Formats: sequence, structure tokens, C-alpha cells
Amino acid sequence: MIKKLFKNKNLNLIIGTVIVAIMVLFMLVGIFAIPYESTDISASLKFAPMSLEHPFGCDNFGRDILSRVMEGTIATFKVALGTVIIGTFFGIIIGGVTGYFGGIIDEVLMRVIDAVFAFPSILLALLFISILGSGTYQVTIALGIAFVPSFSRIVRAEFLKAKNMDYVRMARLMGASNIRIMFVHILPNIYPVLISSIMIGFNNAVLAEASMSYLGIGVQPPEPSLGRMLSEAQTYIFKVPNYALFPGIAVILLILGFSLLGDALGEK
Amino acid sequence: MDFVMSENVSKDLLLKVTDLNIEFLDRSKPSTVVYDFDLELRAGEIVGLVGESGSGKSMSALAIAGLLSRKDMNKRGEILYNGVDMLHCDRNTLRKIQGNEIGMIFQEPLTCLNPVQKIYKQVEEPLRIHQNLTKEERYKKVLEALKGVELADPETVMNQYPHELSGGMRQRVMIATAMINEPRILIADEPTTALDVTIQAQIIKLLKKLNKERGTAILFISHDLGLINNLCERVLVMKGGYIVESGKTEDVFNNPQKEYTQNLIKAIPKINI
Repeated sequence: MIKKLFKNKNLNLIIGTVIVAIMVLFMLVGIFAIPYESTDISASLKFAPMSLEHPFGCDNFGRDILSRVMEGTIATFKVALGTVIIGTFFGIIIGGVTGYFGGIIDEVLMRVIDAVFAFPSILLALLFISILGSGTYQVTIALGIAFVPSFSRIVRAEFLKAKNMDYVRMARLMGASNIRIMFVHILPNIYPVLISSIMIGFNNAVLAEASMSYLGIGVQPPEPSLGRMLSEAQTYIFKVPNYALFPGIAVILLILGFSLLGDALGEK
Repeated sequence: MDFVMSENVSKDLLLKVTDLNIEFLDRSKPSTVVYDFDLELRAGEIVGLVGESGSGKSMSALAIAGLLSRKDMNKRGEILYNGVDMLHCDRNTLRKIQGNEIGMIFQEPLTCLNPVQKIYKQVEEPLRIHQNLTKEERYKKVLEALKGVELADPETVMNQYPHELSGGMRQRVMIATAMINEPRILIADEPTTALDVTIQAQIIKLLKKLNKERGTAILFISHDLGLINNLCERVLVMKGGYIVESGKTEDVFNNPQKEYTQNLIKAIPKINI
């Protein structure tokens, strides 16, 4: 199947795969062969320019920006992945149950979802963080909960469409239980829609994590995160542009790669 | 297995429907679509159900298959199978009968097959649900079932997706799925309407064969009187939710009592050259 996709010369897929591969490689290097400790401070290296030892230069504490971008990308990626997993998992369950069964469960759950949806997701995440406290895991959970409504709506719409299809009726006729119909018969059918929305959700999660850290409630200092680096770099943007440039590029590549990939997979 | 049905067994009453009334409650005002539907189905017989669209024939069939929704609907009467009232029993009891004792095939074989599952998995599904068999046993049964519906190359078909098959092949796959647990009743809801005439003839032949070999009782729903005439022993004629006439096919066709039936029979195109 993957071979077939590439044969069609789907440009989105090729570019997306290349970018994602580069980012994954970048993160793997960050995990196994990081050039410097990302929290090592050195007064003599303050705002050191780009050089062979420090390809991306150093920041206001003399920390190596390359190492920090690597670790920051990993942190952002982890949060985004966790967010998407939480959102998709509960989204499938809530969306599936409401869409498939309908009736009073649907009414109640969807009104709750509507209420949650009415808040901007950042605001909602802020609310959860004020309850749970700040930190990487808390941000992941908060963003995950904030992402549940959009996923469950998408899944619900697809289940509503599928539940009146003849093949579902056929499955019921064979004596399949509701759970079996939901997860064995319907779920594989909504996979294209689900993949695209997971990819879009991932991008939003990257952005959301970056903005949370930018606001100072995500990953806690001195641990690096892309959003936090951007916010710190803001002060020095004209003096040391490379400080803001590289985390920004990392965010852009992460989002671009996954959205191109999502587009290509959804099209198929 | 012994497929020869003795005289005694063939008179076995399988299904008895009495006074079935179906009323929809989810419309602006309640509307009844089936009135006082009665049916007796014996092992090994083929009963035809004729009527124009909207006459309630499909609704009655869905009720017998246990596929009507439990909400927004008022159902009265009795559908007795093996002493179980299928209209009012709980879901688990119903599920044990569905797919195991009663099979059903529909008009449009493409939409009835799951587009993302291979044929093998779909034919296997009733086995997985109702019987405890090992993988090899299931494979053998599926192969047997696909051969039983006269598919030319069952091993290839197994690994194909529904969109790769022709209409006739899809309908055969549907029949294989419905028949794999050797149900005693098969409900065929206009199974040949979407097919062209030659394939239609083959499917009818196949249904006849299954009926003869296994003694499966078939409830054949159609608006094609010619088909009913050549296939069924007994026939029910429905109009506007009521059964207007019923009896032996020859009697109904040769000597229709009601005006509606007479008009229906008149409407069969005759070729006079």
C-alpha cells in the first residue's frame, strides 16, 4: 500500500515523509547523541555566534541552542503525542457511543461536549492546569481533555453516517454485539477521516504546547521546550536572531511535515 | 449430513407469525405500516411475499429477522420461533437466533458488504460469533460455503475486497454468509432486483438448490410475480400493510379472488409473437 502511494507521485506524501523523517532523526540524535547538556550554563559563551562547536550559537545563559532545540523538540513532540492519544482515545469512545446509540446518552454527552467546546482550548487547558498544577504531564492531560470535544464530534458524525449502512445492519443480523459492530465493523471504515483529524490534531497540539510554554505554564525551566525558547528569545530578537530562528523553524517543520503527511494519507 | 428430508420433518412448523402490527411513533403522527400479518413457515418450503413498494413487505421481513429498532416503534403480535417470541425477547436471546437460525440477504449486495474487510473475514463473521471453532476449521467451512454458492475461484475471492467483485459474485458471497451456519430459515428481500436477468436466473437456481439440499425454508420477497410463480409453493399478496390474499401459488395465480391480485397478474408482461 505504501509503495502504491509513492508510485502515484503524491508530492505531499513525499515532502511530508522527508520532513517527518528529518525531524525524527533530529530527535533521535537528541536522545542518543546530544552534543551538549542542554542546561549547562557558561558565562563565557553568552550569545556566542554560530560556529563549528555551536552550530546554532548560544543563548543568554551560554547554553548550546542546538542541544536545546533538540530537547525542546522532543518535549514538544511528547506533549503533542500524549495529547493526541488522550484526545483520540476518549474521542472515539464518546463519539462512538453517542453516534451509535443516540437517544438520551447522545443528548446528555453531546451537551456536555458542547459546553466544553464553547471554551477556547487554551483557556480550558489553563483552567485544568490551575487545578492540576503546571508541568509536562499536567499540560499533556489538560490539552488532551481540551482536544476530546473536537475528536468526539468527528467520530460521532462518522458513526452516525455508518450506523445506518446496510453492512452494519448485516452485521447485526449475523448476531454481532453492539461493541463488536462499533469496533470491528464501523471503526475501520472511518479510518481515513480519523487519520487526517489525528494529524491536524497533532499540529494543533504542537502549537498549543508551544503557546502554553510560551505563557510559562508548560515545560518548566530550565528544561527546554520550543515555545519557552521562543518566548525567551523574544527579548533578544534583533540582537541574536538565531536564538528565535531555530526553535521557530523546528516548530514549523514539525507542523508542516505532519500536516502534509496527514493530507496525503487522508486523500487515499 | 443427511439432506434428505422425510415427509414428517418437512411438515415441521418453523416459524409462526400471528397478528403482527408495526406502528412507527417517530413521525409527526403515528402511522401503522403493517396490519395483522400472519405467516406460517414450514421446513423446506419457499413462501413468496408480493406487493408494490410501500406495501409493508420489507417491514414484515425486517421484523421477522429481528432488525426493527426497539425505540420509536410500537409492535404488537407474536413471532414464534422454537417457542421464543422474537418480537419481545431480550437482545441476547435474539442474537443467538440471528445469523445462526435465521439468515437474510438483501437487495443491494454492494452496500451490504463491509467495504474495508476482505471477503474471507465477512463470510467468517457468523462462525466467529456463534461457534467455537479453530482457525483451520473456520477456514475449511468458509471455503466450503464459498464453493457451495458456486463461486468459480473461492481461494481468490476470499482475499478480495467487495469492490473487486461483480454484482452476481457479491450476491453469492452474501448468500454464503447468510448460509454458513446452516440456518433453518432464509429471508431473501428482493435478492435479484439489482442484478441482470441471466445472473438473476443463476441466483434463483442457487436458492432452489440450497432449499432442496439443506431443507432451508425461504421467505422470498419480490415484486416480480413471474419469479414468484416459478419459485414458490405458497404466496402472500400484500397491499397497504394488509395481506390481501394468500394460498398455494397455483391457486392464487389461476384463480385470484381479489381485484388487486387480478390486476397484479394482468400486469405481468406477456410476449405474444
